[in-house]
Amino acid sequence: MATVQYETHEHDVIVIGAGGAGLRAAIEAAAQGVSVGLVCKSLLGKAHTVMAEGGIAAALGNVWPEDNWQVHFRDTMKGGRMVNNWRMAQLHAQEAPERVLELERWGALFDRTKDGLISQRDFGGHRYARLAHVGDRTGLEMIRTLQYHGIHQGIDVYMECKIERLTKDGDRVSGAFGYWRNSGEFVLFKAKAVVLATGGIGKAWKITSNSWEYTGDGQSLALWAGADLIDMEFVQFHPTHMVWPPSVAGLLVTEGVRGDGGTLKNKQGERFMFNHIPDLYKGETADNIEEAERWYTDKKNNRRTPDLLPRDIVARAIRAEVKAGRGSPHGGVFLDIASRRPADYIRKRLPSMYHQFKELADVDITKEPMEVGPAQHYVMGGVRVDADSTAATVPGLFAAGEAAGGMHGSNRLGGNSLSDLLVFGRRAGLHAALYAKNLGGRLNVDAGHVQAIARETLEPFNRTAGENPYAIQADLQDTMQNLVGIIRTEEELKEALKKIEALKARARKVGGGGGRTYNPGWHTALDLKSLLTVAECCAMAALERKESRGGHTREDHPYSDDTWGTVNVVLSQRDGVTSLRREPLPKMPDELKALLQERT
Amino acid sequence: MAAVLRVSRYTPDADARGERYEEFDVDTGPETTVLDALVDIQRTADSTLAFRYACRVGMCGSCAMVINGRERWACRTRIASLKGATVTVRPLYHFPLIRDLVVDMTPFRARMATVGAALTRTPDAPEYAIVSRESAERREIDEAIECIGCGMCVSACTMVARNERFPGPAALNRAFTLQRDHRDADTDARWSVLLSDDALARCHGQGNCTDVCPMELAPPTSILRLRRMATRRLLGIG
Repeated sequence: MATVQYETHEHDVIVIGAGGAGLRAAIEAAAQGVSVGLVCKSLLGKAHTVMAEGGIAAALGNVWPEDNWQVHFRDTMKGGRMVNNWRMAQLHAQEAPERVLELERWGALFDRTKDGLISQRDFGGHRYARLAHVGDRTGLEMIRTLQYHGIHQGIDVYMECKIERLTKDGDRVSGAFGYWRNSGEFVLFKAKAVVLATGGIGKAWKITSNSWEYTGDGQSLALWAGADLIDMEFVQFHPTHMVWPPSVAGLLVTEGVRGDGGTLKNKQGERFMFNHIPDLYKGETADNIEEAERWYTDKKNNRRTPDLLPRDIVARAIRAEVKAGRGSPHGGVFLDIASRRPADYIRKRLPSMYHQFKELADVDITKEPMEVGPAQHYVMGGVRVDADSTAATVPGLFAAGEAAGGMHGSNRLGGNSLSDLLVFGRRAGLHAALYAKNLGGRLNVDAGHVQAIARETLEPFNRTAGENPYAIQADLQDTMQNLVGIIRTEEELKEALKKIEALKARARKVGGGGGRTYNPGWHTALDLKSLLTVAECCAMAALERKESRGGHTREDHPYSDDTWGTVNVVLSQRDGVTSLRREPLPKMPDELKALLQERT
Repeated sequence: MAAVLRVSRYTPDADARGERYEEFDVDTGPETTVLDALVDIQRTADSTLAFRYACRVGMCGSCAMVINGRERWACRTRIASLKGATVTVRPLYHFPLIRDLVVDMTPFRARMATVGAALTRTPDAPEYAIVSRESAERREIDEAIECIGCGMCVSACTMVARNERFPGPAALNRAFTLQRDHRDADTDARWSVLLSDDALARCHGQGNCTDVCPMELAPPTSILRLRRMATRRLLGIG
């Protein structure tokens, strides 16, 4: 077979993914004086971070002087039901305020209080109003700021480039090989260190807020390169998305709607969240409408409304209401902000939501309630990393943001994602650069390996009569939606794994045609490999964890189990076979444990 | 409801004579967007049909294209809102064509880069600026800040077509948000670009950019404000 041609670029550090985590990593690595290449699958500035609406959680203490990193740490651990990597949660809470202020130094400008300080809004699971925001377009401001700052620093950006596989020299990662989406030609990036910042796995589900890009690329690249994944059973189904009309089902409705005064109601108009307050949150949650109503104007002397419980609890509550026949006409529930807030306030605080409902659903949210329901939104699990350095279990490989696991435990609080991206994006860039600097000599890339990846990448073109990749993708999405959703059972998870095995066989025979120039059919065929990999990991880990916790609910094991509360499910792959094991959580120091006991 | 989507097709190797139109029959409901229809064609009729999209909800600006002769975002354009049963879709103007509806966005970023699109702080600037919600500076910047980089204004601008050194509406609008920001220290360098022959002076104020901007920004307003700032600076009055 003819040798495949490819171009080669060489950098000290290659960052894969250009959302918040990737951009922040690239900026930090460049600041360390090493050569940095930033590779992204779509155009710069279009990554999923741009969709983040509500804000970035940081204990700045601008609205509530009582807030500090200790309270933020406690909220994060509690939200994750205590299986978070405690050190990640600690670093995150401690460093988030500085990362927000740094964004302002680079040009962002967050909304202000009347005194001109950064304003902060309420969000689920956060004890105090903590989310710094720019209207409801916080992600856009963040991406724009990081993007211009990064370009200004002279980072080389390789856009619309998809990485198919990492290369290794012995045990160490030595580069990344992929293709240009525009031309279909191949490209090799040689690097001493690789940072994975590729985001999540949402495209494995049918109803998801995630874009086409979220096909589990980073998790798969890491697994195939010999690194561990953890917590892959923990998938966040965010409670509020549009459910109608069908073409927009799954579009996110920001938690900011509830943070700014919106309440959930069933078809009888009942504020049903009062019936779904778990013991863990009883102490800090209002158990009657009168107190919840008082909380909106007097937060010091009243407990929070249960509308702002963590996402996993609200998502399960909505599902229960719908199942009991108390849902809205299109299978969701009602979210009402119109009856509390004046139209001007809603348009000013939630401009994107206002336009989204007006233009796509003919609903004026300043006058009538929205119909909302849960959709896949985020994966808590991901590449297993060292908390301080973000190093994966393979030398030279680092991971940050949604691609990494551990920080959020079994459930992520709203607003903790943007802060995670910045805190651990920076750490990944820093430690990847230090690692590259300390590594003497040059690393090799195995030319034979590269040729083998290239041939595999071109295989769909040899099967012009092969199956349509979109049909396989759709069947996978149905499988995950129906069998690995919010509520899971052993029987259904086993069935899911069987179906995934069959889908893998179909994907090996997927067809193609139409040339290599910007060919979405071919791209989708290639993305199936990673999508099936992460789907299998998720189903395997979900079958293993025989309890319910955060973003993993088992109908056949409906309660949290203390013995399961001390372990992570760890996945790895050797010779193409994925296996799992249980490992104890890192041990939390006593002074941090004491923080968790405090009643705040 | 049945509609016909007339889509501009082009593949570099296959279409030596340039673009051609291909018609697809699509089933639409009252809420179906142009993006829904394109995605449906891609999934069921022709998996090679090339177009960009990401967020599906008007946040990212990836799906800009020319629909029935006007720049629009496919994700927010409902077919029922367009007149007639045939919808014609072609790629943005003034960008090199890659395939079908996908254009090369490099010129957009190059134009941005000419004005220096990053904020640069003075070394001795305060760590954290107290900014009043009511200040005129903030209000004017807020009116211009929501650019999502979709490229529709560049496609609609007649001056961009004639002068490749002209930064165009998006870049000049971005320049305004930085020149007006008292935290920025790079204004002198930016003025030397803005006051050259091919920048501020080249906008003829036709306002096509304003007509098509999905975020309802008005680049000519930013350009007028820049001109006013430049005049004041020239006269030494602030």
